[in-house]
Amino acid sequence: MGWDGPLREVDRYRFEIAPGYESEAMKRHGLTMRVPGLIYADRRMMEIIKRDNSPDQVAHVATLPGIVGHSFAMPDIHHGYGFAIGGVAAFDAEEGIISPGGVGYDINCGVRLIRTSLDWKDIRDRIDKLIDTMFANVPAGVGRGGNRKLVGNEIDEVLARGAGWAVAEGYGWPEDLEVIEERGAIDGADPSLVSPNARKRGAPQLGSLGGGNHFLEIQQVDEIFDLEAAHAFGITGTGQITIMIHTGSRGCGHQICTDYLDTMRRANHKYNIPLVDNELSCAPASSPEGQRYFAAMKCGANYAWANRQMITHGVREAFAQVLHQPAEQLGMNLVYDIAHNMAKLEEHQYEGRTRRVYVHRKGATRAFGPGHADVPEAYRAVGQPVIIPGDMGTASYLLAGTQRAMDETFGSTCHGAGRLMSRHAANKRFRADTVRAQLHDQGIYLKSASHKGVSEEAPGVYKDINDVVNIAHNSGIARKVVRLRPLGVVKG
Amino acid sequence: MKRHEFKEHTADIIAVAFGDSPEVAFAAAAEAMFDVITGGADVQSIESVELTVESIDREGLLVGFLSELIVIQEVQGKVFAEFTVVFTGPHSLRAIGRGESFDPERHGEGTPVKGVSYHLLEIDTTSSPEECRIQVLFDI
Repeated sequence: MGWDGPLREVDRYRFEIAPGYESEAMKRHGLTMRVPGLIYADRRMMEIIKRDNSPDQVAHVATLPGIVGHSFAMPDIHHGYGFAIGGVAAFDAEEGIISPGGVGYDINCGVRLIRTSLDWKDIRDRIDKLIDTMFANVPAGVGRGGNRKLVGNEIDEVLARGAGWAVAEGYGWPEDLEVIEERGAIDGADPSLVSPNARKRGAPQLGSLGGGNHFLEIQQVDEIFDLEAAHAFGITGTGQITIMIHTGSRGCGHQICTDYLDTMRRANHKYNIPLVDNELSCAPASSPEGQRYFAAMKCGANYAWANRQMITHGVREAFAQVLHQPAEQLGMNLVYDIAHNMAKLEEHQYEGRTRRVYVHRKGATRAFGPGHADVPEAYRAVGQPVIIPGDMGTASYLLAGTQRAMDETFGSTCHGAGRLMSRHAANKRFRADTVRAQLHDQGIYLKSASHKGVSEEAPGVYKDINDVVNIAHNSGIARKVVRLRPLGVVKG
Repeated sequence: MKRHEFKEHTADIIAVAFGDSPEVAFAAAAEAMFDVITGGADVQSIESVELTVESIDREGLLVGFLSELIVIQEVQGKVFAEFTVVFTGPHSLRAIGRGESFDPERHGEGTPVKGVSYHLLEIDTTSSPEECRIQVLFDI
């Protein structure tokens, strides 16, 4: 059984859910779509998307007040809670809402990519050793906290200053900050709006990977599609070694979301905003509740940037330890760091007008095009780097943002492969040792905090990352620059 | 005896918990959550933790209760085998969880629960007088 609502094929890579569509839940609540839904997919991907009812979630987001343009779904969309994962929606700054459910529990879950001056040939015999050392340096899995326990008011510094705090504490290099979205700390974070529970959860976990789909990966450049952009991003040729880090704001961000979902449920009654789904709870963006959530969410975002910054330090140390050379000499510079789960107040030219909007990207990536002032200077001519992690057996991609994304999707694109199979089904279908052996046969070394994490994250549980990225590329909402192939993986 | 089961969901986990009263079903939902967190590991009931929770409605009470348990699990490093829940008002409760300290060797095969969602949340007391059924989605 799947979704069978009406779809209009706009072109080969775009399907529209017309505003007349009403899901069962919308009928029950008497709510209609204010704008159309727009799903980025080809016919084959659309059939996959229809299997899990996520188009209904696209329609539900379109019922929320102040939504501008479309309720968007990226090609990696799958069923989430409230908002679909892979959803993008922009809400007018004055008339619109802000919703914790449009960001998710893992605020600023994101990815960063580190390049090196190493070639695959330099380390091919030492991938195991490098991965084992990264695993030792970076705590991973359930119940494992960070190496640097925060004391006293240190957590406030992290919440306010993000990656900048970590660099000042000796974790990483000052130039790292130049190539992090928002330079690693978004303005307007107010730690006084973060609850004691969020602080208590966050304080012992900084610098840890967590579990689920979070990972560290050693990769080699497999193919270069766009030489000019690759050059700007510091990618010099195939075989070059890169390292990818995927994690978020840990318990700190999860608790901020939990706390403000409760606030928003109360606000929902107060402002009388009718909802299809309680998880879409929201408040007017300009209301005190909306602004408090926004300032607290920014604290979660800053925590995540500090977290990835500290993990970067652990990764660089691992390479230095194993290869007996300082990380500086190994050219381990940051390419970029990008958020996957965020709401941001941005100014866009949309259909001929300047609009200030709260862009919610839940399992979606900002993808600003060439020339945008928020793209680091070194990359401004080619567009913002967009890092798309794939499954641990296939590939990951480095893309660049485009003007088309600016014009159409408020500068947004996909964020990953997108899950196809539930974790329960994955556990029944895949055995950890078989997955490990198959990866081994492909030349990929895996170190994992748990067996279950391996079967739940088996390559077969995801859509084909190549298909997802090709749709983003062919539809014009991102441009392919480089494909990266995994060599070794640390799984949470 | 297990008073819960899990349902398929693409990205997350849906637990369905049963009880002969809403209080028992609340306890069963909490046990389901720790089944996820510990990967179904055997947890000994050697110490207990008490908590009180209040909210604006029954759904908020359940989400608040389970969310508070995630805080206790992460901050105090505890995992639980069983719960007793008593409603102290229309939207408030007191609960006792029995369990032990988290041991990565024995309890490390599970999946961290990031949050407890309102999406697809159902607290159904109408199907029969002897049974309360709770459906709850954990973000993992």
